Amino acid sequence: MSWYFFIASGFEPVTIAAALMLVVCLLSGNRRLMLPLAMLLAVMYGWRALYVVHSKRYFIILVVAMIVVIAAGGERLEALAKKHLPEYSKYFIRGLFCILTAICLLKLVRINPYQDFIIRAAASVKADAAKFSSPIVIDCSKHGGRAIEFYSGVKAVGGKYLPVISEAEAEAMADTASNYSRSHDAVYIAVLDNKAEAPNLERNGFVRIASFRRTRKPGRDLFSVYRYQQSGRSAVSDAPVIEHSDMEQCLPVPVSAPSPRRSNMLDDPAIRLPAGWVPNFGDGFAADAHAVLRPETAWSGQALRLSGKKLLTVFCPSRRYPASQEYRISFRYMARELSRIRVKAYCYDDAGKMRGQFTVSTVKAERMSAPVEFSCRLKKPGNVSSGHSVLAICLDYGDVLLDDLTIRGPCGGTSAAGSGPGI
Amino acid sequence: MMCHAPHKFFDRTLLVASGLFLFALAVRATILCFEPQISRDGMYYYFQAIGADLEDFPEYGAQAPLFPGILKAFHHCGISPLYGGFALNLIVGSLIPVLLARIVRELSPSEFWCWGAGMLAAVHPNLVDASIKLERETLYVFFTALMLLALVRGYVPGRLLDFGLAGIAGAAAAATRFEGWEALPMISLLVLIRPLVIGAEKETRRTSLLGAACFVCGWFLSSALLLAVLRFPAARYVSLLWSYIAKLQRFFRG
Repeated sequence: MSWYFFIASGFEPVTIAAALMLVVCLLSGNRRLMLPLAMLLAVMYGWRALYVVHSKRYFIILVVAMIVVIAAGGERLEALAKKHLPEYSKYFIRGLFCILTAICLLKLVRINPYQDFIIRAAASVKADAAKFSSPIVIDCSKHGGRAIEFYSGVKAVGGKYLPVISEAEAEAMADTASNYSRSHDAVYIAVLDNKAEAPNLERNGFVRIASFRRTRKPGRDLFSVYRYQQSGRSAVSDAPVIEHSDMEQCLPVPVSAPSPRRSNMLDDPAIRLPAGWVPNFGDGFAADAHAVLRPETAWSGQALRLSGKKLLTVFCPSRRYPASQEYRISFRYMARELSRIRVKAYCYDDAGKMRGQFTVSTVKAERMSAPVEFSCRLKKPGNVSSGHSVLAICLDYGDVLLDDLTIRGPCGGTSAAGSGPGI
Repeated sequence: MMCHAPHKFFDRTLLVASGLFLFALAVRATILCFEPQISRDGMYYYFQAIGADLEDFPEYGAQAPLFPGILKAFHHCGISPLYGGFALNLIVGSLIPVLLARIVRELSPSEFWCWGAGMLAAVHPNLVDASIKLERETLYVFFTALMLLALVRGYVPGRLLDFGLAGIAGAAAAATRFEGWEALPMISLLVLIRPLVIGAEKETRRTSLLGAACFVCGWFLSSALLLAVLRFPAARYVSLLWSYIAKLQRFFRG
């Protein structure tokens, strides 16, 4: 396969011409610098064809050698023709060279009507996402997501590439989108599909936003973006005024929870989170991140340990706080290494639909030997008078122990935190 | 009384070279209008330049610092790395045909083959494609062509300055792609075997040795200067280069 890219790097007619001219140079005994130089370049950069190279870009430097060889060979051929053939034969050689140049020019004169399919799809996403405050694109097309983020300004994350979107795969996609919809009010999914596969997605709650042909070739020729239609959430009880978790009560993480990312953590039945708390795969839960509730020597009892080098979010979807009021959140924490955690709030409207998220406070901590107290105020969003907020704790990086998570409210209340049911 | 010849404002060669440059630029700009979509690599460089999160590019390893460094410099100067990068590649890509024409001119007396080579480079589809993308290849080809030009200029007459300039351009190419480092031993060898290519006189052997020394010195001085300008830690550069060499070793050991 590498040899194909080796040949294609010079554009096939040019490569063939260069090979012929190399033979001419060798046969005519050209011992000037031009030939050793061109051969040196060919050896220097051409040996990569021996191992797998997936792009002709890596051989592009050979074009320089090829053009030098063609010029050298052409000149030698002309000199030979001058000796043995009539004068006008040199024009024939030059004519062939001009034809080669014209072929290159013709190769350039092509309009690919599908070249800007991502730009057009991104424009559709941008227009649609303008209605939402925290949209996200899940890229299941292998190459479109980052480009959509670039052109539309909507955050994109990598998803699993699906060779065929069967009914089962469409259901799995819906589960993934559902996970993301916990923390994003609009979830888009970018896929490569064809007309036969589209109904599978549409049956599972996806609405097609844009679809563009990306190539003339038949098959999976459509680049499509779908928006996940969130179904209404079941009503949950209002949050109590005071919530406190000393992390002594815990529940196993739901092992069946679908994850858009690989997570070894789900295979470990011993891993625990406080009762009601779950990892939020939609907001970030990397394979090497861990949320563990276990006895810690530094603590008098259990503590929630969040660790990882990538984003990790845990939240408590069952406890919702009226958005029209303000609360005070406090907890004790101890960092085992340089860490950053954020307290976040997810905002939902009265119908239970996600309406956005914001960071309440950020804690940056270096390694410490004793726990410290932290508190911050969960202010009501400026333009929100109804709906609920849900608290989330997000570890950006590091290794942190958390305990005594207390939520008091409405702000200004004098109630002291007490040992209540685990949240 | 001295009689001055009338000043020749437009040198013919300069005029044709400028025409070739403008033609190459026009070709590249036209194709860019038809294919404006930024490539995945281009996005990586863009996000890297603006200091964005690169979590979604897990397959991208450490890379030679010159091209990302230039894009970062654009960003710091208030120029969009995207448009700055495209402009840089368009201009540098349009200069490659001129450089190639000059290289062939040094090696061949024929004007037709000199400008013909330039024209072929101006419309070569892969060179044009590389010039309209936000990628490193155009800059790499440009510096390599510059190195070859300096080399062919100095090779036969044995001009030490040209060997030094070749080393400087070669180091810039190597700072753009690590493959460029392969030129250091190969070109040094080509300079050392110069007596075999142009005639084995004593003076030629001495000049060849000095030429190779100038090439290597120019290379290392230029590398050090580039790293200083880019504020790229030398230890990191060496470590990246070492991992590239280790990759090659793994390949040759099968």
